[in-house]
Amino acid sequence: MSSEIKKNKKGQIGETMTWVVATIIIIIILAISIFISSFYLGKSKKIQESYSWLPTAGIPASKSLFSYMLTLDSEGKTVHSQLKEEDNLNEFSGNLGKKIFLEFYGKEYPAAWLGMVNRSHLSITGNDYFGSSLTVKGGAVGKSDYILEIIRLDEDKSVELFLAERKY
Amino acid sequence: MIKNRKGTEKIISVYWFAILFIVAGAMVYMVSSFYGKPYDTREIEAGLLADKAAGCVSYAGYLRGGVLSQEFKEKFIEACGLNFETEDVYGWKEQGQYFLQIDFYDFNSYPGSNSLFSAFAGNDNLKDFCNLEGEKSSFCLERGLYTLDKEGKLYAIKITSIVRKTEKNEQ
Repeated sequence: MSSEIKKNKKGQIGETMTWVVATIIIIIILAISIFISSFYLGKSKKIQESYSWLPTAGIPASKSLFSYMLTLDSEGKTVHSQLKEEDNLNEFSGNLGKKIFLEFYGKEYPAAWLGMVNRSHLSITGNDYFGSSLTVKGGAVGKSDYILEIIRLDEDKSVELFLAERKY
Repeated sequence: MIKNRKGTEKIISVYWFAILFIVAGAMVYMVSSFYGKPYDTREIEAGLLADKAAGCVSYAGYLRGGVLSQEFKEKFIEACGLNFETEDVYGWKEQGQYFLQIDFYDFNSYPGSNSLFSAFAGNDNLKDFCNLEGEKSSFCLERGLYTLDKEGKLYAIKITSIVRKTEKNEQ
């Protein structure tokens, strides 16, 4: 009889322990969920302008590129026609591009590349002012991280401006 | 023995109810803390204002005619088609929740030169809160724009766009 009571008591203690452990696990899971929802997810309610799907994203930069293409050099030739004839940036267009997109836009977009791209061969023509291309570290560039403006000069050639919101 | 089992079942059912209420309460708290905060769209608003201003002063690569004039300065809101209306809460209508300023500089001597021309609209007191940090401060945005006029003169333009609406975004 006494051994039977002992067995029963052992069973009850085991059952109680299961419930205590289960309760602790439930409370820990709830506490973690509450912490994440209120301190982490609760703060990410900011809708940022940098979403590149917004039709308005990068309007000033796009307008600046148009103005850049229309700027006249000392001979009265626009950057547009110079690029069409010479297929690359020269001293005037390169230095002007550097001043606009690296110096003037440096605070907004820490990384920039401007140059010619052959779209049929998908090859980038490097230049002395912006290098061969922007080195992208750490894999693919997120959609919201950059602005890409393309001005086609003819069927194959285009001038492309890449402005990134953070340094790569 | 049967009596004892009935007692245990009662305790367990009370415990189950307690756990149920705790879980339900936690879920309500989580949902309300996540969805209870309003979406902060001030960055988009400020960006749209800056874009609108950029479109207002530069068109097809050139500076729009009549922009560098006293008339443009005086009728800045109408000339650029801006609307600074807000909902009438927290006294927002009287206070003014937006500020937009455009400064024109000579590109060849930029930076370091004084602005050639400036135009602004909205509550200019908001400029003082731009350097403050934290969610309670106004959202300030600066955008740059390069353009030229038909005579070939080059301009560096700084657009400053500020949206206040702090009451809704500090909760």
